[in-house]
Amino acid sequence: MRAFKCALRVMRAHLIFPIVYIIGLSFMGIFMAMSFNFGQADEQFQPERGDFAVVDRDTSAVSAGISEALSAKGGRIEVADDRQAFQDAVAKGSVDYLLVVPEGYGDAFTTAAREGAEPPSLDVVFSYYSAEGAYLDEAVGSYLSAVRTIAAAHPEATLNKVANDALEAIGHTAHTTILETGSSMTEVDRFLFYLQWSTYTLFAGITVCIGVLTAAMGRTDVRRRSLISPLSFVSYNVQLGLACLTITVFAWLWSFGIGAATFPQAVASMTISGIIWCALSMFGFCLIPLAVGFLLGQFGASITMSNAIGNICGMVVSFLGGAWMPLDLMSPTVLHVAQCMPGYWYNKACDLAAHLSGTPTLDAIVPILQSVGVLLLFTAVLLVIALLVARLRTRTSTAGGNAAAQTVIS
Amino acid sequence: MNIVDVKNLVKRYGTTLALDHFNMEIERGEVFGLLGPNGSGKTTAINCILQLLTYDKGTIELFGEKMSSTRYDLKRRIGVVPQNVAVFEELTVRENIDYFCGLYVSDAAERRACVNDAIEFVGLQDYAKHRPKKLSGGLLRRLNIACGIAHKPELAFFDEPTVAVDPQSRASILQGITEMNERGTTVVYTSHYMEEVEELCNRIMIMDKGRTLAIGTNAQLKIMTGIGERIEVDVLDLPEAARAKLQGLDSVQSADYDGHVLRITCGNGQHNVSDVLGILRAFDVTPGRIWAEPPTLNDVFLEITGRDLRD
Repeated sequence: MRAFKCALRVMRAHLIFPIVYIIGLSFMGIFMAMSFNFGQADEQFQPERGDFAVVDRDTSAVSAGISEALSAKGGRIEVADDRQAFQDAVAKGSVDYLLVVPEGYGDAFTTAAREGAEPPSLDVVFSYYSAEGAYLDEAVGSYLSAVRTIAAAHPEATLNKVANDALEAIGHTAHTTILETGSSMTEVDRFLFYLQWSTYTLFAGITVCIGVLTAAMGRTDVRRRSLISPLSFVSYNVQLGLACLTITVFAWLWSFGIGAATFPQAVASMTISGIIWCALSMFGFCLIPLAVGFLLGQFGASITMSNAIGNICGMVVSFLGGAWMPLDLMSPTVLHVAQCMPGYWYNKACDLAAHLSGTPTLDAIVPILQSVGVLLLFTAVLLVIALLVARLRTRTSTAGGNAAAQTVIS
Repeated sequence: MNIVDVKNLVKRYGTTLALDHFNMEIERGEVFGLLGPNGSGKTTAINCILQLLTYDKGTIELFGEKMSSTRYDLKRRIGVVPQNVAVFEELTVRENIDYFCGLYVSDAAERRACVNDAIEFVGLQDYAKHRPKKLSGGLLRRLNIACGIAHKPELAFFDEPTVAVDPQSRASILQGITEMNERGTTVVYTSHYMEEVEELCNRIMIMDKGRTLAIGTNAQLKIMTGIGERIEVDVLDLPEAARAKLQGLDSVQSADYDGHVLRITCGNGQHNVSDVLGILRAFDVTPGRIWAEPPTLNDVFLEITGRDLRD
């Protein structure tokens, strides 16, 4: 097992890659999954309230009504009727909304409403710091809209009556409550999200690690030196394959283990077969980046190249697997493309496995098996390509030292 | 018994004939030099012997047995020091030697002893824990050698092991190869440094275009090519008759005089210098300084392979 041990020693020299990609990114997935807080609706709905100031130069029933309508949506702050005070109040953030009601505004507004003319304008200043000023302005707009409607509908009504009726009209609001819906996140969903995120962790991590390892072990001069020795070609490759598999198994066990340890409630709520199938699906997925890394090694890809390809492919596979946004939100075209990627089938298998209940029937297991089978097909195709490349490469001039040299493959 | 016995080896790369009925016999205990210009087929011959390349025709026997790519028992007895430094950059000096030695020696205790011997042999004791990246060119070459010979092979191939090495390291490497040979290892040595081959090898083969052009000891090759010594004599005034007399000597190939120095190129001969001095004395010419330079392997090599530039 000399080549196997040597391969692990080579990997030890590149320890930064498993640490950053496999361990680091899996922790990132854990933190992301934990940060989701959907479904925790044990509190009453509390509408946002902003601070406002009304400088009332009109002192009519309409201006009073405006103040009262605003009071229902926010807290009133007194601001002196002075331009400097206005600027200070807004600039220092002491109010979100400052309204100046000009003298004679109430009368002018109702007259315009009854005559169907353009209503007079209000001087309004919003805070730069939040959108609450706009929210408060909506309240003023609603109230004035009610005033305009009532004044036009009842031309004989006094200003006080119009203002009071308008206040009463806008006082009728819809009751708000929070309902638990099917889209709320449960612990199992969190765990599933983590498993989805792992597509990136595993694809990037394993591709980079295996790519770096096979490139190092496959350097022409070193490989030729090994071929000259009593170690057979087959034995050398089997040992190298075992080393690659060891790294893959480590990535798999680590990723699944840390997920299961972080979300024990999710694991406890799943069936044993569901857990096993989730784990097996993940292992099936892990074999794909193993094959990609092996392929990169056969091409003699550099460390930088392995990093780039591992990351880019990892992102694409995880995105099209639904790790970054739900597949339901994607267009049918993207969904079709996603079905050609392993992340889709892995996530499908995990989703089905996580929701297995009771004793699993064959009908429930078959779709999972089909998804895992697709993953294995991806692996098989990539490995065949990698082996073909390996065989071609050993026949190139770089492998033989002489132009068009033919290397004996015993 | 020949330790290497290659007969009628033919190797083609497409339409190019790389080895043309190539023959090579190496006896146990020899340091055998393999010389040839670039593209002459040296590396192809060695790669065929090591079964890294297939060949079209011929037989290769090592240690008296037919060599094939699956004769791991024979491979176990061979050591190879390739031209390029072939080590793992990720492993330390000791780990590298241990890995390559481990491909031949499975017993851990025996291997440890072999690795220690190899480190000591190439003088890398102070660098055992260093990675190759931190080693100089000469140290890297020494590591390359240690990886090839740590398992104490009976037959070792050295393919230009002193390329880009400083004189001190080169001397150390050559000394090491001599010691290995004294301990019983048969050495096949290829190099472009003629003085190394001349100093190191018992027998030398010169090949070109895939064929053996000459083979023998250093002295035999010189006789074979008919190259003798070069003599230079400081002479103030040399009569033309004296020059013509010198030119007429059987062993003299050419005698040129430029007004100050008389340059004579000799063929094989026993008394070239005394013959030249005798003629000068006969013409009352008083010689100044006299240089007599024996022929070098480089002269032999150029004589045999020609002076045309190669790719």
